Amino acid sequence: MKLPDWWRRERHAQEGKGRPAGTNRQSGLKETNQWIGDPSGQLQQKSWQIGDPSEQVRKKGWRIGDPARKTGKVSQQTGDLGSESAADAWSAEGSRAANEAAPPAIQLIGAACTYDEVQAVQPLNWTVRRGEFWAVLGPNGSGKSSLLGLVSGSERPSAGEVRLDGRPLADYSRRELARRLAVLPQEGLPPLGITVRDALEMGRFPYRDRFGREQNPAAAEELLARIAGRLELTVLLPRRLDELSGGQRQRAALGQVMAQQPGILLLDEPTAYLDVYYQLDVMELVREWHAEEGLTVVAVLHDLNLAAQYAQQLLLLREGQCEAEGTPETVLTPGRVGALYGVAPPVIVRREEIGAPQLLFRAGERRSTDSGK
Amino acid sequence: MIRRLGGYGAVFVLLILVSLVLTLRIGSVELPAGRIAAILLHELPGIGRWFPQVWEDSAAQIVWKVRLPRIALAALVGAALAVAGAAFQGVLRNPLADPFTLGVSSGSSLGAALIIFFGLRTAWIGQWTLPLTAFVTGALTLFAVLALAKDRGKLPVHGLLLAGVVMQSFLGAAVTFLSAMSDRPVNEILYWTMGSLNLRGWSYSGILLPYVLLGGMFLWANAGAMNLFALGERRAGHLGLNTERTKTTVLLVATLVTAAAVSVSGVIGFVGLVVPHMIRLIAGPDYRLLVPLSALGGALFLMWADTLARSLFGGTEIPLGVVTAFAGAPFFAMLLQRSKRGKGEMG
Repeated sequence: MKLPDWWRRERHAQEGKGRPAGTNRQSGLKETNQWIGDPSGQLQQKSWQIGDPSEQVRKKGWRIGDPARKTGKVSQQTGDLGSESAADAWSAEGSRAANEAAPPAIQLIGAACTYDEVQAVQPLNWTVRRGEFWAVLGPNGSGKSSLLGLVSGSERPSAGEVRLDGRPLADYSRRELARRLAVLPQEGLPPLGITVRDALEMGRFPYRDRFGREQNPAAAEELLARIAGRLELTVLLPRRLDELSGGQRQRAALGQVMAQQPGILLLDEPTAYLDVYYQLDVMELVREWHAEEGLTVVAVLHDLNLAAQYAQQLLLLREGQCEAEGTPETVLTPGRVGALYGVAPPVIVRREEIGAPQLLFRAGERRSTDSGK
Repeated sequence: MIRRLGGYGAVFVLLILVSLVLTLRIGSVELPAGRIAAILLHELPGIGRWFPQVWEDSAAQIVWKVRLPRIALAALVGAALAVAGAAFQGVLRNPLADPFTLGVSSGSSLGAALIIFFGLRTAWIGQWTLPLTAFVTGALTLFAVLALAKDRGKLPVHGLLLAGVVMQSFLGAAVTFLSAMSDRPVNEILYWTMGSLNLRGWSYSGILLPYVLLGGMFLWANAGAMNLFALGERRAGHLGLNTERTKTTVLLVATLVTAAAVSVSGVIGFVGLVVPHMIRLIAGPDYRLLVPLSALGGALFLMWADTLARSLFGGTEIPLGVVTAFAGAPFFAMLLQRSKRGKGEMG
């Protein structure tokens, strides 16, 4: 039997070439061209067997964003998605067209969320289709986290309904839900005395029986090993969480979430406590997972520029209501952003190498929030 | 995990067996350790015939009827309190949680105090009146605390801790009041609240055993869930755990196990707090190890504590709760100090 593809860890000759200095953070992340898990949430042997037809599909999916292909320079390096090119891995029109037919993964039908008389989320209609990458944006207190709570099932809607894959969220047991939908927490994993290996195993909880036994222990073991390899956590497996840095703990959290093999991933400001390296690290890993497995992603983000670079669709919230939704280009206009956040309209920067609109805010021009309304 | 559990478990079982023989030696009548081991093995089916009786009947009587019932009960009470303590600490994510956090001990104490105060110790169902009342009042306290803490169908941890504290101080005051009003020369109420295993026959162990076995198994089966709780309740929920249901059932079972132990032994503090921490320092924070090893460690701890209580000052017994605090607190402080230093070296 041949070794699985991910095992070979081939390094590409061109790795690192053409990248600006300091972007070698990509090394290692690009070595493999297959992701873990499958959207159906089942441990299927075929998803990691070499030569499987499904893998061909996956490879194709991986290459969608390859600029080399777009420009006609077809290369054999299926696994190399350079950072300089990744920005237009999705093109707004392309992904829209592709997803128009996709069935809805998350539907909010007039769903609202109330805490003690305070309406955190006004009745909201919102549809996320399978395979889409959304970012939810808005000022503090605009209801982003409550919205995430509604979708993850930790908040009950006070009105309306939330549906997941067409089924009301309330019909799912916590276990069923955890196999379909995973949440990457803001602060990563807490600094506990447990090992990284134990932390990854916890992600298998929804698949285990009452006594903590896996249906197919060997396959689960292989899955965890593959996740660890993919996230470069292999050497850290025996280390304790309280010995890791914040960025490493966020990686471990991502590994735990991957072990759940979800079809939908919710991110709750995953970059809040991270430096730039790990901010990009987390978002990049999520994007790769999204691209290869058709994962549906909804990320609550504070950083508008990060959102514009990684998300295909944005949902802009204002006081629990939808202010705007659509692609970054259409949603992030200077006037709207300035008014919503109560700041002077930012400067929009467009550069070829970034590909998404980026906003520059000016110092000393804060306006009172009242005048923005 | 299983290999580590087997390793630690074997060590603890061995220690318990050795301790059994050693603690059986201690008493007013001198018996050599080899003789005690032979007396015990003589009764075992299968290998008993390898150990023919060469001792007087009185020696066997002392071992089987006097010393062993008390040591067995000590082991069971210790196991019950320690396993419940581990469960409390796991589900409440609070290092100071112990089996009495939800007010069970004070509830049981009040029941016992009422029985003693009104001189009803042998009324109704004889010697069982007091344990049964203590168990029922302890369980009632639990439900009162749960009702107090419940907030819109959820059981927030801070609410539970506060409700437990409120209940403990209120019921504790009632016990103190009854004890102050008591006009007997020996203050039985005070003695009961400090714990004792004196004059408890085999039947007490028989009553406690099913609680420890079934309750312990249930808590062990939930050890994986307790591990998830360490990540925070929200995260545990996202990983597929029904946190409210798990919290409620685990607290319920752990408290009933505690109430059963308290009702036969009185209030023995420190075991449920210290033993899980000791095990944590030895075997790490994984509750799949922590829960079963706490049971074994608690048994071992209380076997020795009770032996000290009955032998240290000859005929005068020291209240068991006093011994556990005297022995447990310094040991705990030492382990804490060592782990602090260990961490400093690593960092």
